[in-house]
Amino acid sequence: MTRDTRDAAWSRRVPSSDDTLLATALLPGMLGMLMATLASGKLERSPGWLVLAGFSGVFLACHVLFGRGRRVGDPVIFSLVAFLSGVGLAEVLRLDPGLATRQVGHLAMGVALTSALVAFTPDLRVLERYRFMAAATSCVLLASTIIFGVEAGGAKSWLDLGPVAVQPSEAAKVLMVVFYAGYLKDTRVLLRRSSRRLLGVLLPDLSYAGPLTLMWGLALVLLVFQRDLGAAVLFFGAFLLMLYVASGRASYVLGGAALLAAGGAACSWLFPHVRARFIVWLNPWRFMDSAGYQTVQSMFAVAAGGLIGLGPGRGMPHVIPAAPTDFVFAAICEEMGLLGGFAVIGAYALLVHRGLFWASRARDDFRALLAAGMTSLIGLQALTIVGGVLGLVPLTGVTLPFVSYGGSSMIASFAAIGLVLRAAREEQEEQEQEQEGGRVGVEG
Amino acid sequence: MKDSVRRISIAFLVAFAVLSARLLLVGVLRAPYLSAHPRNPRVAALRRDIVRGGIYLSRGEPVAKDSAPGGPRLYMGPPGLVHLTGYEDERYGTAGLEASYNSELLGLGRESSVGSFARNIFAGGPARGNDIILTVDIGVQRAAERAMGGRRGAAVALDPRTGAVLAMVSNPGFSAGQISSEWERLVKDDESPLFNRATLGLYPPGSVVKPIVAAIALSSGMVSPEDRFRCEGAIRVGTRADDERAVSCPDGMAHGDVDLAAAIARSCNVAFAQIGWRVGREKLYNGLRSFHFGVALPFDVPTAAGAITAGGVNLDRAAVAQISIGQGTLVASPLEMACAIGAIGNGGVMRRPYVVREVRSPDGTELRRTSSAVLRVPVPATVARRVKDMMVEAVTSGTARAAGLPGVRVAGKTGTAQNPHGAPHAWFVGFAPAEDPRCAVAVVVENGGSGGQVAAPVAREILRAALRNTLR
Repeated sequence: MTRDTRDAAWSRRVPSSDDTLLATALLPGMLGMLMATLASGKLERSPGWLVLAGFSGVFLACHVLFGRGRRVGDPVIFSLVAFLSGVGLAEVLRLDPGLATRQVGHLAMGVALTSALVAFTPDLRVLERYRFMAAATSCVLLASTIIFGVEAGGAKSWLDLGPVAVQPSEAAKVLMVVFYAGYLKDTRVLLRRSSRRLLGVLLPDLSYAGPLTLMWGLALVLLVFQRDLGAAVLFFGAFLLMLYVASGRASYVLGGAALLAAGGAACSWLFPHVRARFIVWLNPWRFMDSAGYQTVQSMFAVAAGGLIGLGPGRGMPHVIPAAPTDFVFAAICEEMGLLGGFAVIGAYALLVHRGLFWASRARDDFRALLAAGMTSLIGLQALTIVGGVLGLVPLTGVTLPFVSYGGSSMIASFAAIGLVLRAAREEQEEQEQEQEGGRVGVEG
Repeated sequence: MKDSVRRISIAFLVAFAVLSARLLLVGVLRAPYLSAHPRNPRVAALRRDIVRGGIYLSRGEPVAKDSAPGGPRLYMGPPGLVHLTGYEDERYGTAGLEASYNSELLGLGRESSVGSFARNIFAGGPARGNDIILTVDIGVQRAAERAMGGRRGAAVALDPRTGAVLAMVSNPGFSAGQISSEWERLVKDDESPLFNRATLGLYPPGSVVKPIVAAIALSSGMVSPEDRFRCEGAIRVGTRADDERAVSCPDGMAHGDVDLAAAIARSCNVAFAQIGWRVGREKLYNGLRSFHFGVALPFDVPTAAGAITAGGVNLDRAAVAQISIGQGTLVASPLEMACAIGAIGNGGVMRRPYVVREVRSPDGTELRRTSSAVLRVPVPATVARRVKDMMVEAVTSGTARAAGLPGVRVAGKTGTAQNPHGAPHAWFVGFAPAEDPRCAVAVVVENGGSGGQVAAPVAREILRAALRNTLR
């Protein structure tokens, strides 16, 4: 198959506009919000109606503004984000209507940011120029939390700005991936060339291994000073995956993972709070009154849901600690059942698949790396927290992207997905131009 | 670059699949356990709205039931059975059958695991848990309690043909209804009143193990009923000449030349030390194993495993002699002794003990009925019959005469077990009627002294109550 026929076949597969796709994605969340509102008992002047209207309004407005999804980059990704946001908002509404009202505001800001990125970014390659500035900003943001940060939930990753508290590490993650993409594009040719072997493993030249160890160091600093295991895993994990994309060397990823494991082992040996996380993960039941409480309560909630769940408003998700934020997945499983849980996991799997699909299609290396990095960031974050909630991996305090309550996380996730959508749109635009050029060529 | 992106895509897919599998594990496979976990706040919420199922004896006599939805729970059962039935308390949790049948009593049984909370809490469905019906017979239970008379110790009576427990007493006891107010005193009490001596208490069995050892000896082929053993009142058990350790008969009585039957009837320690040596340590150890010594019995409430040795088969000559007379490292629970002696009475077939006969739904339908099951077949029927006859002789003309009942052949064996806590424990094991036993008993009175004088009369009263329909 030639490239052209493949592209033609592919463009037939991508719907140019699909109202039903978005409607289907919005429906579960809207039904959930409706059920939560009905279950709350106060139908008049319930904040549920406002939340329901705000949620559907935000996504429909964006849909309409982008030519009914035609110009949004990828209507599938956009719809998946709408689905996840809706399910999350429904559960947050059921847990705390006040939070849900604010979450609608976060969603509006997030969708606006995504829209701006998709519509007004002149060209993603412009971002490449600012890669070092992105890295510097990211480091400053991280440093600010280390110096001025306040502790919440074991991690010292919050900045208290009077009326609002923000989590700068959320923005730092996205900025850091921008830097990774720029840096790896520069060095990718060099990274692929390897000169030495150690025990049969290809080793990069020391000068190129430098950034790898630097990133490793950064992850450890996060771990130690911020007590933020989750952020450490995300920063380093996204970097490793992007390094693999750039170099095609599995040995880098394995070596990097080994470094992280070694660093983690050293930290758990040196620092009791890191060690406690691992011990609790191995057997939460032994610590069900102390450090294992969250995990055990979350498993109780997941088990209570059954296949279809108890319905929003009918379970007891209030007893799960941090239910609207880190443990929102457990609350969803309790009230929307295993089917709800599988739907959320499936939505992430599709989202990641779609994002990486655009990365693999991108003809520009920076664009590919950026799309792959942002997608991996979201995918890793979902894996980390859902795995933690289900006791599969040690528990880390990260949010479930698009689902958990939280302004910083919501806006950062929308920024990340906005860049993926922008990459998709640029890809499509370039292709259209090529096709037009081709037609002109044939005609002339 | 395309290839590596594709590989990452596949890796993510695998990771999400693993996550889904984990969700299945927690949400489906572990759900019944998690949903009935006593520390699950949903269970407590459920408890407040539900009439917890009742516990009833074999003919419907109530032991425990809720006065209203959410309690308080009323306990009206025989006081000696309290360890078995246990308690349920908001603060101190559950124990006994209240613990092991918690999910049944709350109506979270197997038929209603997934999504049961919705039905129970909101849909106004079954606001009642399931009832459990025990095999315990009120007559036998009362007789056992009366005969024990509050003395420290335990008594177990079961039907050796099925394994159904007819009575179970553990002394001292406590009041299940007053557990929250009495807790501090109960946990500090030196006599451990919360402890179920019948299933968890481990005692050296002393001479009551002799019928078991005799059965092992006969089935091993190393000893025949005609073999005679010389008793001069004591025998050295060490291997070296300067080893002064010895096994002796009570008061240094020399029994002369005794065969197996006489050794049981007169409880001759010296003969049994020699029988143990003749059988050999390996066959003795494995034989005791086959009678379930040293292994926890499957039962409706937790049981203690007991022990044959401190570890492994490596016994020296002295240890073999000690174990053969039920001393040394050998310890067993009263339930274990009742099951083992029941196997002798039941033609060598050991039944799995059980006490919950059935689970009934609130409307009275039978949900589950326990079926009797063979646990082990430690010895052949011919051997069991021979040992049974020897035990009958012990009651008619030997040390166990106090267990005799008019008009019925009782088989029994006494024990007076030395222990480091003071006076010997008084033991009795037996069954009746000997030709077709319907009740097997094990009685231990802690520091009670002579088994024949203290434990045998208790066993007699239990057997009398169990056989009351056939006795004149």
